[in-house]
Amino acid sequence: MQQEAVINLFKSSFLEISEELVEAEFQEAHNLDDKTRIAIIIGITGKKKGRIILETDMLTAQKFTEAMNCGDPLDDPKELYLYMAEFANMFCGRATTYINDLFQGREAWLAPPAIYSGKNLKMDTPSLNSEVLYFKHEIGIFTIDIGFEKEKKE
Amino acid sequence: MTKVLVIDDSPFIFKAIKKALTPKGFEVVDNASNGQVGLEMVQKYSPDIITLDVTMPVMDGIETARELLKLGYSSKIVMLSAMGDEALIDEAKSLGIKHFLSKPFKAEQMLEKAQIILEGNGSAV
Repeated sequence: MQQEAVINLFKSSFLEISEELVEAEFQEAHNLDDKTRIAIIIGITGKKKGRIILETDMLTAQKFTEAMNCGDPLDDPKELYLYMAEFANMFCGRATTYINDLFQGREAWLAPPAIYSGKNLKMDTPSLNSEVLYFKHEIGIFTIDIGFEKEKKE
Repeated sequence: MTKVLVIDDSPFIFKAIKKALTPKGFEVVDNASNGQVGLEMVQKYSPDIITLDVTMPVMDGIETARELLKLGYSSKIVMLSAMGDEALIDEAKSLGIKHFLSKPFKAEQMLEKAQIILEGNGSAV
């Protein structure tokens, strides 16, 4: 699988789903902050293994999930995590659909999302080649860390 | 009133289905967060339509569909997935599932599926 093509598919899937869900047109960006953050991790299985990390600060997550909820506050604050997980699941699902269509096979398959939150979240997966994308909107900034297994040397 | 049961671990999807169908006269009776709970709710409510997510904890959508088919629900299920690949659709089709929607869906798409099921037209995918 060509990594650059795959990363572009995740990029376009994020932009499409955020537009479809909350009519937000995110722009690519290049900065971060140190507020309390939420991270959704989705494992990728299939021919190519890896993981996607969607990350943002809690205020951005709150604004985004309220927009998903047609502008209404969520019934239970804990739902924020589930809404964010669903958002990640949707754009990763769209991306894997594109990947499977592009490579005409079952190249990628998603594992259920895992949710983390806290200050100074640092996640590293040394066995993966990863690339981080940044997207900004007036709602806030999202980062997507896309990592795939390193190619084995022949 | 037509009863709809949502089997999905996402409260967002439950609310989206409720917002799509309730104004049109459907009664969205409950939300099961996995297939196992869903099967218990099917016995409790005897729904006319079931929306079924593919990826769920405890019992996933494909396994749940197998159990629902034994109960005669094959033409009453709308399968929902964020992954719209052909392999998954083929697997669900081979079980006898006839209706599919990719997430996210628009309210009118969900309504159209519900109306097709209600009218007994099992040909749409």
